[in-house]
Amino acid sequence: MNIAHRAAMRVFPIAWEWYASAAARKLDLTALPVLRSNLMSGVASTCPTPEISRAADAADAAAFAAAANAADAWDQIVRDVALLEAGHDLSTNKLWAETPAVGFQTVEDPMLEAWKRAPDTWRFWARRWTGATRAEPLNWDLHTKVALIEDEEWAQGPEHIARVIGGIETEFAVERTKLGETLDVNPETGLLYLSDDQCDKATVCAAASAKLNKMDELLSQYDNYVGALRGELFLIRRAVAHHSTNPIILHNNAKAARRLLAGM
Amino acid sequence: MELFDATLLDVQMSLQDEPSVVEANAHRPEFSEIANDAEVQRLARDAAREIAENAEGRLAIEIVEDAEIVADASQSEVLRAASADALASRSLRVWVAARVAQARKAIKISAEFTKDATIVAGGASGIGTGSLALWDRVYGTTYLPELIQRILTLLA
Repeated sequence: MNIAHRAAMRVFPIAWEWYASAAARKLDLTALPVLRSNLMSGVASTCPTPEISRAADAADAAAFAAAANAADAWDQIVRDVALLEAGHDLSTNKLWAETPAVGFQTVEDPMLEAWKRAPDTWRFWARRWTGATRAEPLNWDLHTKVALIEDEEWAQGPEHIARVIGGIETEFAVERTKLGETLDVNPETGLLYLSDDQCDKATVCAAASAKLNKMDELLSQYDNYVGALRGELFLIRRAVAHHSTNPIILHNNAKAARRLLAGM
Repeated sequence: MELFDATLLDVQMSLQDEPSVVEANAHRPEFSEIANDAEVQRLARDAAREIAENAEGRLAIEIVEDAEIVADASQSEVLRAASADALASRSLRVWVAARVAQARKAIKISAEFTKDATIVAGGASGIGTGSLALWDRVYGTTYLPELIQRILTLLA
């Protein structure tokens, strides 16, 4: 499935060329269903679940047949097989071993231009394409969330799906950047402020904060340390002064200070 | 220095099994890429100023400090990554809250939507409780939306 997915990716610009044609526009067709199929086969080959695999099976068969018709693409398939047999992760290998054949480049460039002209609609797909060609795939958890968007949403077209994906990307980013803080509005001033979530075990946070505070007091007695450890002290002072009940910031700042101390 | 290192390790170890720490760090990315990104460096100070103008307390202070560190190439990469982490976390939450407030303004919101929006905002209980003028100002900023778009791209 992984090989079929990559084969389908390589020939996708050919499909895009047709979907951009007058004939396709006349039939009110867009390339979104093909992009969706390709996304699903990519997710299914990387993190298969029964739900994803079922949805991807049909798409893969068609994509593989299309790709196998092109000799240049066939060479790449042979290479992918060799890489797989050698135990490589295909997603960390460029889509094309070398520069794609001219025939493929000539259809890829207009596709990328079209995506640039409507960035709000095609931003995700452009990034996904660039990531695949450079062997820097987007996060697979994000891929999976997009692949599991409901059929009714996909049916509403590329602009609608772009908005849905935008929401997923934001939620994904928010989940990965938790700092144990709550944003609120001060009704008196009308301004935003942050408050820290509390430690499950308050004594653990209090002890951690006290240890960092004691170390700060000790090091602050020596000017040479204060100068040399400016970054480390910045991190622990911030944790102690403003986030003494927040386990995430206490933990992460201590970890970062330690890495800084180690010269990493 | 050994005592300092041992203290930092002790603090780290004592907190690493706290449920909220485990949850927050389970899928936490490396922030070096964000800290080293030229676009983020270009936008950080202005976007942070836009937030600070609408904030108070340590949010107003720390977001400016973090932006300065991220934009200062002479600072160590570890420190800039730690600041990029805080900058990204807080900017995202402010922006999402502003967007949700705009949506509330545009359509009649059910209680269920409000609950979902609060979850999506990841700790922004003040959504919709501030004056519309506040959220209009945040939503109408120039650099913050650009910074958010760049952060979303880099976190994907």
